[in-house]
Amino acid sequence: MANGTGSPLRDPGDRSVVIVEDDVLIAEDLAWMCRDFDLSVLETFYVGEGTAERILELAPRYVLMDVRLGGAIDGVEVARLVHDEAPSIRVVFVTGSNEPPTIQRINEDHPHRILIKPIAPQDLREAVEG
Amino acid sequence: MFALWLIMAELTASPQAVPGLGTRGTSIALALAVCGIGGVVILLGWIGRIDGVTRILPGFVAMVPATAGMLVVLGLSLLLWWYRHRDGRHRSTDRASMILAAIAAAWAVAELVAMVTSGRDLGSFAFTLTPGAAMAPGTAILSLLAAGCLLLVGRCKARVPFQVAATAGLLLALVALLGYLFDAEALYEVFVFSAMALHTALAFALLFVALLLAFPDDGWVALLLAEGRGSRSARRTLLLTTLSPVILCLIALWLTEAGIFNENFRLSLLAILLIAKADAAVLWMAHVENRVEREQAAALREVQRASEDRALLLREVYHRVKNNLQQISALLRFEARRIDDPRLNESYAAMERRIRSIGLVHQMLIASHAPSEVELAQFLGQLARSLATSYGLPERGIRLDVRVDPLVVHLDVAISLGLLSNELVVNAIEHAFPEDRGGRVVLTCSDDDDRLVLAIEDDGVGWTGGAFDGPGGSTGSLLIRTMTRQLEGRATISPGAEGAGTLIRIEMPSDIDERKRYG
Repeated sequence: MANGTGSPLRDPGDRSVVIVEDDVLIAEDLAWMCRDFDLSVLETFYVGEGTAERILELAPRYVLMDVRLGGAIDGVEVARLVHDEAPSIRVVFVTGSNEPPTIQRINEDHPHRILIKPIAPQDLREAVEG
Repeated sequence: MFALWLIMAELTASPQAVPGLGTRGTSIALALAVCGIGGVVILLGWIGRIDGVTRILPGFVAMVPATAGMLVVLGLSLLLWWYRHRDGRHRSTDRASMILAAIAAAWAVAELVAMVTSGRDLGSFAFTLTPGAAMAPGTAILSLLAAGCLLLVGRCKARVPFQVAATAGLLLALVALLGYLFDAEALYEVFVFSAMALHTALAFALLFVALLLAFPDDGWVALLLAEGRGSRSARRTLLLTTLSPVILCLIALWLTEAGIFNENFRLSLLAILLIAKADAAVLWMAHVENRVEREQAAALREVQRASEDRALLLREVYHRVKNNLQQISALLRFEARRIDDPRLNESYAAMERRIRSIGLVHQMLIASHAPSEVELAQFLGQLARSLATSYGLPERGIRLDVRVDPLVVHLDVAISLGLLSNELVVNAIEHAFPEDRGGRVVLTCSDDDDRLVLAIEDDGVGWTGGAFDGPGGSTGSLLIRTMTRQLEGRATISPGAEGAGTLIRIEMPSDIDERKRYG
């Protein structure tokens, strides 16, 4: 990648995050929680289309990823595109879709963590630390 | 008059068979016809000396008075049995009917014995009740079969012999009837049928049908009269399948007599035609079975599709519920972030935890095998882990153990138990371990024989508060009280097992799950 995404020389103190969530209210709440945990929210995306490319440009440390995004491309698909190009970006799934087939698909994407809605703030904190 | 009154009474009851008559009405009408044939032959044929009544056509053999009398006795026996069962409910034997049947049987046996001992000289046989002529051998056999049926009718254990005898009698009578249709002379050459009159054969055919209708729920009669599609189709085609071989044979007979082909060629033609007919019937059955199979497969696919749709819809609903709970949590946090008061913030956090315990049930549901059931051990374990993280229990040196029997509960019960457990655990964490005190909390849920027990035990400082059901108190106490009531339970508070700490037990009826599910 031109901007060096996925480089192993990542700053260990990097606490940047991108949020992908089609529900604006929940996205806003997640952004607040992230700020509470000293993460810097680079951007929030509300659809799946074109999001993977933008995430690769932004190269955050973490991505909070919803599965259902209302369009043709879902969160699992976006995560796969991101992981293929930049495996060092940690994808934390925040989803209500915990039916076994979806969980199986998510697990194929090397998720950093899977959090099931409604999530506890402490679960999110644990996911983005260490 | 008696018989007329009886049939009038019977005509009002019973279903099916002949439209408007019912199996019982049909059977009684046929028995009356049998009596009638016997009576008319005695009265008009022998007493009134009308030859047309005794032999129908010139050249045919006559019905002897003995046979006519036998028909009256047999018909009367069946009518008496029906009179006994006019309420139509139970089927049993009738004494008067059995006496008549026994007389008929003895009479038929006597005729047969006399026949064997006196050879074929029927005219000189003097044993018969009416002098001059004895029964034909076939008539005696038919009489014996009919009398046997009448002795068995009403006996539940004798249904198979009854069916066999009545069916054999019907077939024998039909052979004689068909014999008349084709060639009466040829019929008389067969010993069994020699000297059997046309209306004797007819009367016995009717009698055996009447007898078979006495047990319309048995054997092939039941199959013919049943409600199913196969039985309906059998009834529709019965006339055709019965008459077509007869008509074929008649045509073959006429063609031979007209000299178009000889008798042996007639046999091969008939054989081929009957084979074709039987094979056509078999193939028709195959067609019907294939169609039924296709229809069943289509219906099954439809049911499966509907079931999958339903599962999909439920998942969608559970998914939306979780999203809505997340939205509610978000709204609460927006509000909480504006407030600086630590007590109010703690209230908001407690509300979020309660909402999450409900959300947890929905997490479990979506992964569950049954769409509205939750594995309690898995659910409470998850709830405890969530609380441990939430309260930083490992850091505080508090251990939270969960021991739950393998129970599967409905989601409503799971939600109540979840809210209750949430409050009990939080209560223990907040009150049992002040000032950085560590310790252990154990949450158990066990299914004893007669009750379900949810218990929480800690080794902390011991209970200082009052009972949950007292007035006022915290939101936690209120929830413990309401959820206990919701689950029809009773709460007791006591010191822990070793005298230290606190043990809280909630005892609920063990069938609470079924009651909440279907109540």
